[in-house]
Amino acid sequence: MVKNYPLIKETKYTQTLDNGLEVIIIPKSGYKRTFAVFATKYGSLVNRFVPYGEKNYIDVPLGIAHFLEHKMFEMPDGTDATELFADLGLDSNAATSYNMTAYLFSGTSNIIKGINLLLDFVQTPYFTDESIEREQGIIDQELKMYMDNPADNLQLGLMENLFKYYPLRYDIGGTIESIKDINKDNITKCYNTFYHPSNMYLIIVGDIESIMETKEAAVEGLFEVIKNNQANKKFPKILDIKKNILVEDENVNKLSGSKKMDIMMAKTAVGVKLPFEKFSRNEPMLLQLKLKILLDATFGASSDTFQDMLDQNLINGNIYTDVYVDDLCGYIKIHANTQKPEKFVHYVRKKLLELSKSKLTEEEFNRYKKAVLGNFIKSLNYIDNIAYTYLDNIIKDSDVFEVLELLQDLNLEDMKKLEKYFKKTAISDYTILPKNE
Amino acid sequence: MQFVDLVSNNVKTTFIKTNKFKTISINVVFLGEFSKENATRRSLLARMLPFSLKKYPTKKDINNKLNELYDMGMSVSSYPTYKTNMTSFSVDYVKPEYINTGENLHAEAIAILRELIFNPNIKKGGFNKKLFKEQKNILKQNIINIYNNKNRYAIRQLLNHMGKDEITSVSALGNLDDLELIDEKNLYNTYKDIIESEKASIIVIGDFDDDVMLENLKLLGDFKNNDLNLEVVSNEEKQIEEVKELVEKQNINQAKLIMGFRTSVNSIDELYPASLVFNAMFGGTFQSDLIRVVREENSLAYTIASQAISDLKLLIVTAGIDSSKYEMTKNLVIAQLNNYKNGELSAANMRLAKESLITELIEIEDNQNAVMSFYFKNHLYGVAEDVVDLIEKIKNVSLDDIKAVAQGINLDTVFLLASEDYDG
Repeated sequence: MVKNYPLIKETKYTQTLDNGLEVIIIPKSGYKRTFAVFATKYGSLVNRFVPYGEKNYIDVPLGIAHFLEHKMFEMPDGTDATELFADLGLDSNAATSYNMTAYLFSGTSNIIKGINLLLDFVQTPYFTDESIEREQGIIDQELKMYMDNPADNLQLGLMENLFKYYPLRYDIGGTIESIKDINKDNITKCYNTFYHPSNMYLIIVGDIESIMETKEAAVEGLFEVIKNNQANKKFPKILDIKKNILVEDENVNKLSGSKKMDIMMAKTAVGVKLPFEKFSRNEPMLLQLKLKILLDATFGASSDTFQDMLDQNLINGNIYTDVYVDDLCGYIKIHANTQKPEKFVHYVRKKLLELSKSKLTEEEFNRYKKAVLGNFIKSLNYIDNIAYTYLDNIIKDSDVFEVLELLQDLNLEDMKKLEKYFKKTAISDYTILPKNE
Repeated sequence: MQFVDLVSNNVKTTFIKTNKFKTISINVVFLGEFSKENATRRSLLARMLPFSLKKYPTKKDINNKLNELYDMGMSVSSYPTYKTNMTSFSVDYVKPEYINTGENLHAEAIAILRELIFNPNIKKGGFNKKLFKEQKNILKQNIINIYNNKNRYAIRQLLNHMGKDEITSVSALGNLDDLELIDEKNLYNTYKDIIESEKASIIVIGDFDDDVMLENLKLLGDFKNNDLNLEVVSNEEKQIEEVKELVEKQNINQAKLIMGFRTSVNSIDELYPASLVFNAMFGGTFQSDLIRVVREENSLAYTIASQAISDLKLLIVTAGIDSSKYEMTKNLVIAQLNNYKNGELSAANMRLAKESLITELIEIEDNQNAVMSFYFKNHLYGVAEDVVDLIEKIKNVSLDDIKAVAQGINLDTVFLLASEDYDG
């Protein structure tokens, strides 16, 4: 399927292969680098599921998706996929998020070989007890590194406060204890269940004509390369994946919390829990966009709030607003470095509660629409960003390339519908305090 | 990508023409001296100026205007290379073809840039007092806050000890003692010095009509083309009498080991391309020897990396380790360097390092800021080569060149930020 997006002057080609793999190609003429990501709709949120071909649910240790990501790179012949990419002059990497595990490479030549290698190494599971044990040592150090990072602690603390069961409350990497329970058996079950091609995406962004060294039917040629690769492999039949993610009511787990670390200035976050909803196509993306506009209007650099917080010394030059929405629920996070954490929390809570009555004017709203348009166009300069935001949205059934069309239709009435999210029982805060206070 | 050198507004002007980006970026760069005396003032000034426009006196005013112009970007940045400072005033905006409401974004961008450079909000010979106090306080907090980022803090401590009376120890962010001495009036003098006495140049990158752009640039008026004697790279030869070792304890889980080496190769040295390859082989990439030896073979660190700071003739190795593994990790790094000095080198590793570097260089063309920065620095260093030339030089680097680079590298200072239970 070919789809043109005239507002952003981009084109997207998609095909779903016989084995269920969805392939997306986005040509970016003139770019030297190609960016390819092979991703599974499987991240740290899934810890309870029915393994492929079995009948009963099993529970797996926290952090297993991330652990599996590390282990994928090890090949049966003792080589490491990173080295094989490097041999081709390609940079490779991987990342695990709450709801996705992504393997990627980028480079300026040998792209076809790279795509084959990317598919091959992710589709060659090889796990041994010895190597899992060795990996436990490395991940142990990685987790310790995060434990010293105040920003990571802030995120974790806030999520634990917001959610009672939903696995956003756990660190993506798991814990030093939980990873000890990872073994060849449970890691293999995760792989067999979630790495089936029908649960995966391959996205390629770059100058396709230059990759294929032809101007004739280059995109079609690239699809053929991928199809041939997949045709040479046998996959079990496509089954529906049964996973059980605990959902919960809309009230926060804990209203407030804090911890001390060896830092000079407090880091504080106020969060809003977004309730569990049934979303239709593009809705998660649109909700995220609308909330971003609202929060930017409330806390952004052009708001009276921002100057007021500076005047009262509640923030240190910056305040950050994050909005996360997955296909089930989400959260808002307002955070800053602050010398007055208690006052900051009080102030932000008050502002958030005021959002239950929308005060946005038509003029302001239209200005933000312009800013969003410009900002999105700018973001299309970066091919890695295109691949990531595309994947990030497609896993929640949203097409980021449609965002500007949807934006045009957005009106002030749509913004009023956000009022329901801002209520006392949905708000929590968390603070990292300097240890000597 | 096409580079056009010309003269506009009385100064050297470069148009970098390419249609692959959806944005246009216009930059005016001022070159002047970077010193201990002015580093903090430069840092504060770069913070102040974007909020100090007479025409848009509040943050609300300027941000509303920028939002109205489709998220136009506007910034002032300041960073050093050795004893020279670059202050860059920039605007970037979406190509007008993506909007259909008739605004002349080129002219709007130049108008904003003109306000940013020439029309700060000055009263009675100084910046607005309230804004000054606010930004001074923010900078103060940012300097204090380096403590929160353990890696950055540890590197800063290393440089402070290693280059006590050298430019190496001067932080471009600034320091608290100097910050206390700044007021809204002497900061305004710093601003005037930059505009009046430094050497300006213009770079524009994107897809635009040359004549239209030149016509718009005229609205900025003339800049000063002062002839300055700028020291852009270090030629200092430092003798190391004894390796300094420093330990600081904090309540942390993972220790930070930072090793500071002196090198003999600066950014304009003939061996500079070889020094890039050396760094990539040694600890600059994921395939490097330090990763292999320290992380893979000995499981001592999750991260270990080397970075070359060529304008200062430094090489820094950073690692996150368990405090108890300090001596062992340090000795492995030293042993690895000695292998290089003795010419125990792997041609396969060199090939990988070169490929990785070459890819990085080719990719510069995919990022507007990277193109400008590469182009600008090369001109500043007088090496006047483009990406292709540098790639050729990298291809020609030999194992003997790597050995020669290694032989000029000597350990000067080691800094360990240890956990509190460390008893070394």
